[in-house]
Amino acid sequence: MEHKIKIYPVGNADCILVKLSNGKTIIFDCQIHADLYENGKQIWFDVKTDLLKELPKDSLNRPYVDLYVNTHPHDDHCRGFEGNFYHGDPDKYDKDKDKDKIMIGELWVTTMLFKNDIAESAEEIRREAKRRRSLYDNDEDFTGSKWNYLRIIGYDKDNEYDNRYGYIPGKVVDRANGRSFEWLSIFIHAPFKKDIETAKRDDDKNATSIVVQLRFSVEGKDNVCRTLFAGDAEHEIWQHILDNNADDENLRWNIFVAPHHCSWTFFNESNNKKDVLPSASNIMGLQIDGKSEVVASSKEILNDQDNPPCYEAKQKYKEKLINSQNFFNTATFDVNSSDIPQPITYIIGITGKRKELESTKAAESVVSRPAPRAGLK
Amino acid sequence: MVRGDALLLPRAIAIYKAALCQNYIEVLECVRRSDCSEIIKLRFSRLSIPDEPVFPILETEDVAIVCTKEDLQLPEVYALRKGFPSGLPHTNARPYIHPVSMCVSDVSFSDMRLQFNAYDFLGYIRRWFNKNSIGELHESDRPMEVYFQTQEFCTLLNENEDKASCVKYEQIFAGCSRLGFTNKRSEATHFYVPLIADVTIAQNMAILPTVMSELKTLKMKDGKSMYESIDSIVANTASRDNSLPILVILSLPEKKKLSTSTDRTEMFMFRIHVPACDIYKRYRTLRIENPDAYTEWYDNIKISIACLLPPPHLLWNRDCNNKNSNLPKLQKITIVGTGTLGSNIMDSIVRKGICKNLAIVDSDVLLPHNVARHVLPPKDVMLRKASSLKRHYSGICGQKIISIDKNYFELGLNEKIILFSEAELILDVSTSVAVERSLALDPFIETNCRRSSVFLNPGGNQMVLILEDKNRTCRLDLLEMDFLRQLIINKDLDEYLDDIRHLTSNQFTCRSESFVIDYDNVKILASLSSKDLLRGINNDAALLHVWAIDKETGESRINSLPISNWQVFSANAATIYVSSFVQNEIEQAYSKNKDYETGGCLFGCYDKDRNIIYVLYAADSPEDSIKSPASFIRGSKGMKELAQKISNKSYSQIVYLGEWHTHPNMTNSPSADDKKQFDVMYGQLHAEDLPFVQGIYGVNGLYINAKI
Repeated sequence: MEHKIKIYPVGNADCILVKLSNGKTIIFDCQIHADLYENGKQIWFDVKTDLLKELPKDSLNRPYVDLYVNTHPHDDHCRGFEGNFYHGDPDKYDKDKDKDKIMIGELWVTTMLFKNDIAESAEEIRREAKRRRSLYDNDEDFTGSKWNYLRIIGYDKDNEYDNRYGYIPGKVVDRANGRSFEWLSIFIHAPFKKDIETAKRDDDKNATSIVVQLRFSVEGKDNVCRTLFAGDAEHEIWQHILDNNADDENLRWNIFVAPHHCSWTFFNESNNKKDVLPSASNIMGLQIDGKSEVVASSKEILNDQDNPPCYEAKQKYKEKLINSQNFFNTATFDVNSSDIPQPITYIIGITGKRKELESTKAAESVVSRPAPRAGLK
Repeated sequence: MVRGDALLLPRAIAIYKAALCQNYIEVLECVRRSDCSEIIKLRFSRLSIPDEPVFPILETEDVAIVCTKEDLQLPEVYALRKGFPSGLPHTNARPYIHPVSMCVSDVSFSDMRLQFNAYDFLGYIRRWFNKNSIGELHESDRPMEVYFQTQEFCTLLNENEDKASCVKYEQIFAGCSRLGFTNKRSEATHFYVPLIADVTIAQNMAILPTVMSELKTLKMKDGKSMYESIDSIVANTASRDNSLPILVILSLPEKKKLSTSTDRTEMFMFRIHVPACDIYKRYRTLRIENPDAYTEWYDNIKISIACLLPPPHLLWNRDCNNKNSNLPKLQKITIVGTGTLGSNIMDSIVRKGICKNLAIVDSDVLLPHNVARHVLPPKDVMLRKASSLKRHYSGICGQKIISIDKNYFELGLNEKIILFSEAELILDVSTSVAVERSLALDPFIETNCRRSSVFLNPGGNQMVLILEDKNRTCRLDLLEMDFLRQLIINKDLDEYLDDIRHLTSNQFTCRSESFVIDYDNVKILASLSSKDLLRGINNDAALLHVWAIDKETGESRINSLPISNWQVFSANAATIYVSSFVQNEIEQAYSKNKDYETGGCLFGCYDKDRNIIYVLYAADSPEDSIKSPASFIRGSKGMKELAQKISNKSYSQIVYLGEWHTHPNMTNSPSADDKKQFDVMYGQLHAEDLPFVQGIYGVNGLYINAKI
């Protein structure tokens, strides 16, 4: 029995696939480039093709994901949604026009998605969320149905959302799309009410990022691996999480995806790179052991002025890790012979987590890329 | 120490180059020894090791790969780390514990060497570490590993009906022995001690015990320790004068970790190199005076352990086939391989009186479990098959049989002459690709008689029969290639490899010795093959047949597979055979694309020992290819999946070989771009220890360039 986490190399963006041994799947955020090539050379990993390989198909041969989580409506978390995920009345899926579009069983979004000023690439996610929400709002007996499940994570001003489609921090979720995960539970840490209001006022969508801890079980052994995914949550959010968290076990981690693509904002304000706030130290202090790992889903981290990714943040993560070797960057971890970064793939089994490199046979790299030009010319 | 680019052995050079082009492998040093063997030390990093590995393997491990000048065995691989755990699954028994010798492939090297690939070999090593770290190198549905490693097999000849206290132990040859209970003191060699162990959890970690202390952790069924059990039997049964050494027969029931009952019972025999009277004496005195010294003495007693095979209790009855008329009458047939299928075909040939002289060669020994399917009776257990078969059929009127108990590759020149000269048919039933290739191609066998090869699929319900034509234009190796091509394109053969598809060990041939041969199936298929073969001999044409038995109904059906003509090319000291089906594929593509260049990938096999490449399949251009009137860039969409599919269907026999493209309305002469493509791609593939083939089709036909 083994589960899989695939953190796709999408530059300064997020796109993560979780696939359980029983076939259930979750996608956190989307970053699918329409064009993988630059100047005739492929530069991006083909996320869509890989997703189509990994995701199951339903009885109508449509690929689907059980749970799609949009952590917040920024372009680097939403690009490619429109052309690659199906949105709209599920009965109107056209097998030709919508071929290879991925059906979504259950959709999680944050409150900020419903604001007007969101990234263009998030608009279809909003449209889909509204469509699903209207099914609930128009029928008080509606509790969700296939391809129509919705959860809004957060608060509707001061109130909680209708409990048929709302989740708030502190909630432990062990099912989606009408079925139990069986081997996974998700603890929701954020967004908080206060942060949502502040975010609305300041138009800070990062502050309403969905933050979760995933707890994987294997063959009856609980918590074989715990991961923290946090979108672009910055240091204030982490402090609120710590303030509201009753049990450190909900925050301990084996894998931590560095928020905001290894930005310094996890440690402090961007203009203060000298001090590390206690929130960051505390979260880093909750790494489970010397095998805990931090993954930066970002472009290559160079010693320059960029932020994200931030070189100083990388150094700080390494310093705070029990084993400083356990910092990895999606842009550089595994680059194939065509210079295309490959996903960081974790396999979670009874012996814990391990990273799996794509094994290649002789000639595979040659046959998998275009051949040099031949011909009379 | 030598520089990597100064290595001399071709095998070592290939491994060194393959290591250089792989990520996460670092060459540490290269060494040449005085016996001309060469050692390459490598560091493997980014191994896929979990947080809590089943065995303490690290994410970075150093290995040494030893290549010998003779190059007759797979290069040995050793894990070098001082603390590397010993006794892991698939480690080789050695007289020393470190460095740990890793068994990275269970395929015979003679079969693998023709298409041995250094790049993939390094992949096997990585896989060994990865899979062992999660306890999955030994697949869960494979039989359990033996509890103890042994270098000797011993069979019991009888059951102890008379309650004898002694045994007669007889070594037949190194690694092979027999044991019989006896009450006759004059023929007894050992004092016998029976032990039954308590049910033990199988570890998949076999050790080769050499002293008693390595056995004492086993608990006996009656709760006693092993020493106590031996002591009590010796003390109560042996006389104080009994100078015979001890021989223990240990029955060891085992179960897998999650099983609720015994999964199997293994039997071991170990000889204790101490006489019974000695144990008796020390038991009575030293054990009481100085128990610690007694235990220490016992711990250090040397033992020799063997795997004990139960006495054959199945009597196998042969059915006699009645004869057909119109059967060929040949002077001599030579059969290589006298296993299950070979012996049954031989039985058919002998009883039908097909040939006057029969020559057989096989080095194998008849084991008790073979008796269920082999023609030889139980009395021949632990004896060589070839000479036993000769004895078995002696007395059949007019039948002369020559037998040689040797491995085909170890035959001397005289032996080859005895076996093969004047043969009118050479029948290969060895299950070895290497033997078949040698029979097809090696010039030292000075006979131009037809060859045939017959083998079963791993599931034991399908059989392939290959027979050359009279003129040997369709040689065995070329017919083998036609069969492999059909494996990947013919839907009727989709189930050929079904029974082993789920296995992930490094199997390499689709004619592996069938591990689940049904008795009825082998008889039926052997009869069908001998009938088909003898019918084929009466004709001049080549044959390529696959017989299949329906698993449910037992109904048999034949699939006659198409046979190619082959065009032969030479380039850079390599011989390239291109199937006529491949040429047709390319011609059709050329005809459909008269205005634009088109192309695709070539797939096939190669034989490094003989510098031969076989091109079996030309894949069409992927949809992202860029075609223009004077150029073609082969795309990559779906190619990795296609290569994987072809590899799976042919069980890794068929690999990517190179590229083809067309010159519409022009000759096939390579342009400057074509030459550049050849150089670049050969360089890439050579680094991965592969050949490269380039094909260009124009108005004047097919041009081939290749380097192996």
